[in-house]
Amino acid sequence: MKVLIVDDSRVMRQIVTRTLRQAGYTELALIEASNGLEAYDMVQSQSPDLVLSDWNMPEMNGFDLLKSLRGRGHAVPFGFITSESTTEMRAKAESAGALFLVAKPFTPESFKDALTPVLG
Amino acid sequence: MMTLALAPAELKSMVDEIWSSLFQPVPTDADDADMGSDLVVGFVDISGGWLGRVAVETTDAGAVAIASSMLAAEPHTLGDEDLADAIGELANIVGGSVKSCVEGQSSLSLPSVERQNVLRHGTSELMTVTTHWLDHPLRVRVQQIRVVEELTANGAHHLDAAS
Repeated sequence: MKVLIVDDSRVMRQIVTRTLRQAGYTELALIEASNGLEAYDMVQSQSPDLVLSDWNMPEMNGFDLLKSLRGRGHAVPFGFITSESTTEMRAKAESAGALFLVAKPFTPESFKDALTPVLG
Repeated sequence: MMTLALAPAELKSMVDEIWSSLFQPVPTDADDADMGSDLVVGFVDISGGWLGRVAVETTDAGAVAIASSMLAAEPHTLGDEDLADAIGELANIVGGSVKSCVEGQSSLSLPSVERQNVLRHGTSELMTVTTHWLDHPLRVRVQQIRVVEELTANGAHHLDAAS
């Protein structure tokens, strides 16, 4: 399975990658984008099975990425990994079609809880 | 005016939890931090009903050690961009948690990184959490900002630190 990690921070993309491995997802093919615009193109060109996206990014934020994908009929499973996790943001994410929102800082366990329904 | 529902002890717990998830060994508490002259500061601003700045401060050597740990990379391979990325992301994570304690709607800026103090001296400093990690100082500061009405012809607002 292929997972697209979207975050403007290379440090955070590295930590997400490491945490996925620690959560037991060692066979995933991981690809990366540094903002929503880049991610939008990669969803179309590389057809990932899951998008893990930051919310607050330059160029195009994660919420606009999700809205753009759904607006164009892309049903790729989508989850947020973000430093903000208010009730309002969770509700907004869910109503736009996100499967989950994992708050930073996260643990391998919180990744497993969020990803098991999607990746098994 | 909206408020920040966060007590100093709660900020301490919040920062401890974040540091525990990101750093090995876990940073230790410190009474004070000597930042010397090579300060590196990552910060984010919270705007909305409550205005404030959340800053994460360390030294240049501290930033190298932190970036090396977070990127799992040798220190000599790291550039300024990597240090800014690491310290900025720390500010983003702490700032996001602080924002969740602001009552009502607010927004979080993208992180910025500077090599100078970004908080105003001599003004009220809401809260500080000071730790050491691998002998490097690592400090979080949360400062409220108030809007000062300036008597200008165009009625523009001027942002100033709370006093």
